[in-house]
Amino acid sequence: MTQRTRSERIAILILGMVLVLWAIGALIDSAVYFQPILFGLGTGAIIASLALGLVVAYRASGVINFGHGAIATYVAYVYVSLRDDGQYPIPPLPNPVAPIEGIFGIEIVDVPTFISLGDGLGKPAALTVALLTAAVLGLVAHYLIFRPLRYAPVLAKVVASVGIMLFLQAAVVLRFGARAKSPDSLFPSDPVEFLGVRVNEDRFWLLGTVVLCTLVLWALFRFTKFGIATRAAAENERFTTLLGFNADVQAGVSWVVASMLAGLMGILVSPVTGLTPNLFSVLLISSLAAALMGKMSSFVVAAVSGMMLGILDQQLFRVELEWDWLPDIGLRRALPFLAVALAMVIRGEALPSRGAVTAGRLPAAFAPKITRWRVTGYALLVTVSFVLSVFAPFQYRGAMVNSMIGVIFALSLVVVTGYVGQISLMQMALAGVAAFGVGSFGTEAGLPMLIAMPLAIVCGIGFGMIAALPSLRTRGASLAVITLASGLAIEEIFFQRPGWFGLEKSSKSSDPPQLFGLEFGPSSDFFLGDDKIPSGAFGVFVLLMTVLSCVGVMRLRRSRLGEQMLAVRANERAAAAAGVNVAAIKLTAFGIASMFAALGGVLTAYKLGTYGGAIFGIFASLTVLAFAYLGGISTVGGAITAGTLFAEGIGVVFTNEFLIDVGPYTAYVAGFFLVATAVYNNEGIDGFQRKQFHGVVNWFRARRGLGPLDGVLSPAAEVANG
Amino acid sequence: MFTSRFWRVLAMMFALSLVAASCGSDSETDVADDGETAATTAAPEAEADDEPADTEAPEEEAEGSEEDAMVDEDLAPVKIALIAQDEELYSAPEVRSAVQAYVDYANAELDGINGHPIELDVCGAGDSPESHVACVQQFANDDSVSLVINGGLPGLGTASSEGLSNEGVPTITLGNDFPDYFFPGVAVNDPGLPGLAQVFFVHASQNLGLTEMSVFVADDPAYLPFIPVLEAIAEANGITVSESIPLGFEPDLTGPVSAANLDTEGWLFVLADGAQCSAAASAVATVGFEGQLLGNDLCLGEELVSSGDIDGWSGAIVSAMPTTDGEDADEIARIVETYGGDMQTAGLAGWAFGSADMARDILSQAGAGEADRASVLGVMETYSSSDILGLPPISCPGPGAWAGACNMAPLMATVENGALTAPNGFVQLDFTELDFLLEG
Repeated sequence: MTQRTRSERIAILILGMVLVLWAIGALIDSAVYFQPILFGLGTGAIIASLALGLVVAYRASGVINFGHGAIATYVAYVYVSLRDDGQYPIPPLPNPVAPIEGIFGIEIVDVPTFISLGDGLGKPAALTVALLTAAVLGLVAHYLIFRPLRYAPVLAKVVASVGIMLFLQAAVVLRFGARAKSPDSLFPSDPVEFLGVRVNEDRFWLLGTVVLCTLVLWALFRFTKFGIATRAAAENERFTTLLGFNADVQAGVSWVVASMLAGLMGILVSPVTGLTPNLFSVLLISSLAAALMGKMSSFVVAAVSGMMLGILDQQLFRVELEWDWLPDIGLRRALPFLAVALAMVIRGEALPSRGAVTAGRLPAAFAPKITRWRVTGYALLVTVSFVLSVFAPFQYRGAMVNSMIGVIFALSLVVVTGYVGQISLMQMALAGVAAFGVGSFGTEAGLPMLIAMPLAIVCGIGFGMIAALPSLRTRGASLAVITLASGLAIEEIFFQRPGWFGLEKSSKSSDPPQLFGLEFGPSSDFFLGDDKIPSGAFGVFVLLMTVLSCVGVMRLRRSRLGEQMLAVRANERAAAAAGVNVAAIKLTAFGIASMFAALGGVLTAYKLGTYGGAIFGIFASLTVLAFAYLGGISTVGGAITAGTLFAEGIGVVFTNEFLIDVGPYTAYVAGFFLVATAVYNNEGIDGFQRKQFHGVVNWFRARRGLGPLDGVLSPAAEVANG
Repeated sequence: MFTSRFWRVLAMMFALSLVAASCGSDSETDVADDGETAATTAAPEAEADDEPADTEAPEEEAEGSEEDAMVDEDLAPVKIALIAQDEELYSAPEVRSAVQAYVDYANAELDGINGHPIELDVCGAGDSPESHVACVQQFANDDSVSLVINGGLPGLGTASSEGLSNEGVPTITLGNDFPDYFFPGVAVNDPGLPGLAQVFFVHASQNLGLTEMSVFVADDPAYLPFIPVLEAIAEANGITVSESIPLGFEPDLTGPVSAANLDTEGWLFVLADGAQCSAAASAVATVGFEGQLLGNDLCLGEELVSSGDIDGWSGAIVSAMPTTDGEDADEIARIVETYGGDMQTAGLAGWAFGSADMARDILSQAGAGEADRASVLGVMETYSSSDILGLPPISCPGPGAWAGACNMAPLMATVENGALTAPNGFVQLDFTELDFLLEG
């Protein structure tokens, strides 16, 4: 009760802000006195409706479902397809005999892409089929993905939901194309006069739907046995189970409700917004702010906050338009997230977490002994990397550069997430700060690389440390959200407009790195290798940075600081009791991680030469986190594995060249593997490989009467690792 | 009963099968808008074996073609390279389809290039700059590539054109930003945003007789620098821009649109994607604006046009391809019907189709099988043609400093009853009138 009251206070605070701004707007132009409210209805209803689904999913599984918008999109596309020509899409399916078909050049199985249900279904039939699809998606999400993850760490759930988002978005593009669609409205959509303002009738219907859904959900979770049991399970799953409730079924039902809600709102809203494959994923960010206002638990506060955000957006638009003297700092788009971050920091409260039977843990942070064999192995790896970066055909040289920069990004997450257990969704924003910084300091201000590059990295660290302050008071899902909000605020305030950490005009340029008169850019001449681009010079430069970064993180892991970081990850209270300064360790970890992210950003700037802000956006941060997790987020080896998986990385190019060119299926397959890894192999590829390798080696050693290979963690040691 | 090992094995099998399926029987038609075709299209004879229905010209078309218009299979193929941005969310799959259709048509009904079969070398790119950089490197390092059609979309396309220019690779590209016009060896086959800015106001002034307009521009870093440009060009054409309103990406644009003056004679929308155009059209209908409506080409996508939501809007497009009555429309429609499968004809399809025609012509003049980058650059320095399908007369280099501005005549189209018509035809622009923009 106390929590709800505080949540409501936040909502009231925002309401107050809206009223003040509204009054200011009214003073400017009384003719538009009611416009912000009425024009904010559409946007507000859309934000609120998505927020409701987020809350339902969080209540069911403790998941901040980044895939929620993609579910809405997929179902909306299914509806449009059924309405237009009665075609029901079949997502790309596995074909077990595809290798045989490939080898013999025959077609055994003709995988259908659509099933015809007639010539354009009526609205009720199309709606029913589309919502059934949503229900199936909800069941699949629960039983195949989030049920196995119910005891997993928050990170695994975040990665799985990102995988769902990538998978469904890719499925939409593969089946329906990427062009915008303009669906028919289910509601009457003629303009009507209300309080002297012309508003489309469907906005009121949307508002009514949101209000109805909110009330139904509120009543369902407050008054029914199902709702009460679900709430109880969220508090204490073991106790609820002992009382005879099946928490699993409750969560499954909640997932079905969340997915159907997403699908319904996707269908209702897309006539207003138009329909594109990533539309609702983008809108989800604002909805996340609304859901967070309600602490991911209150339907009423989430819905009201969503509506308020819609109205606030309209009012801020008016204010920005009327008051020319206001600096254009992207306040309108960043404000909701700044408000969320600020509120969560001030309140210092975590989001409610599910009282699971057992707590999940992050993958073990493996720290092998430095033996002669290992040093030889590392030297061999560096040598091979050097040869590939300098002497390999150009496409592999470029891929090596992409991979090595990816390794550095992944290392930043190894430090902050793998070692300290803090989820950061802003790493690419920090990379962007440094990338734009090096363009400003180097190319625009003319500073030499030896000054411009460190200066840009220091700026990245500074931004990272400031954004990390909330980590002193929050952790888990709350911290993930705060870092996401911080990253978004950085993106909106800096990257979208001209400035030191933003654009020059519509992009930013960076000259190639120069050191002692030698140039190390992708097109620079180099005395080794051929004359094709990228030159070996840039590869050597990036390799040097990557090796230094890997060695640094390996030494960090083995250092006293590294041990303290792992102690914090395992148990903050125990670490504090043992004399570890938890706050200092967290800030240090964020600082080091920011340094690596910034270094990756600088190298990206040098690699591209000309770049914009989109590549450092929030979805890039999510993707980097997902790939780092896929590789293995707690080890340097995992970061190296992750690097091979990055866009146009060596693993991807090698696979395309020698195994299978998945082409437009790349995102689809990547999404699938992300989900599969999160669910079935949370050690990542690196951990899986290590275990298999050690298993084989130890089998041989056992046959020779030797003990197991060192470096394999005993169960006790794994527990100590967190 | 089902252990975690069982699930792991099942998941692994599923994953492997999924990967296998992606290159297996999930056929070309599985990809919407023909998004994936073979990366390299061989000469027509080889194609005919694989996909006779798509590549063989029908009898009546064969009769219509010139008797001596035959590809000589003994001659080495001439390569046309294409960067197609169609592998992720922000994509234009119609570019690959249209160029492929043109190449199939040229190999089947024309003589390829001076008798040489045309080989299409496609580099598929996605949303990441890395994929575009990889394409630039692929073509720059391939000496057999002497001309690239760059289908990269705004933001990524300019960077890759710059990269190709730096490496001395002749390029035909979309023009979305000012630098496109100044890269050596880059021919811009689209008036781009600077040209569009001009054509809107030329059309508004000369054909519609407007003197005052409101302008809505996407609240995006790639577009916002154009607001002062739009205002300046409008003034140069005798039109006052009374207000410039940035339109964000919020789902309901009624509020921002309603902020504009309803009494203005015309509203111009320069927006970033079809969804934004759809939301803007809905907002315009809500506020009840009754003046002239103009939108950029991204608002003239097939779905949006056919929905009827933007009936009455006018916009500048590059090619006659998607129109019902533009020049060459019938011939293009026949070719698309024969070779294009179910490709989308709106969007960038016309640009891509015309660019392929232009590339063939340039390579022909550069010596076909003997063509190299130097000879192609030489041709592009003085290239002109009035026979490019769907396009106005092309002339390189552009006037004055605007060397890349080879195509300076967009087609003014109007949406009527869910279809594009072009009653006013191409509008010839003079880029030297934009010189004042270079002073800043």
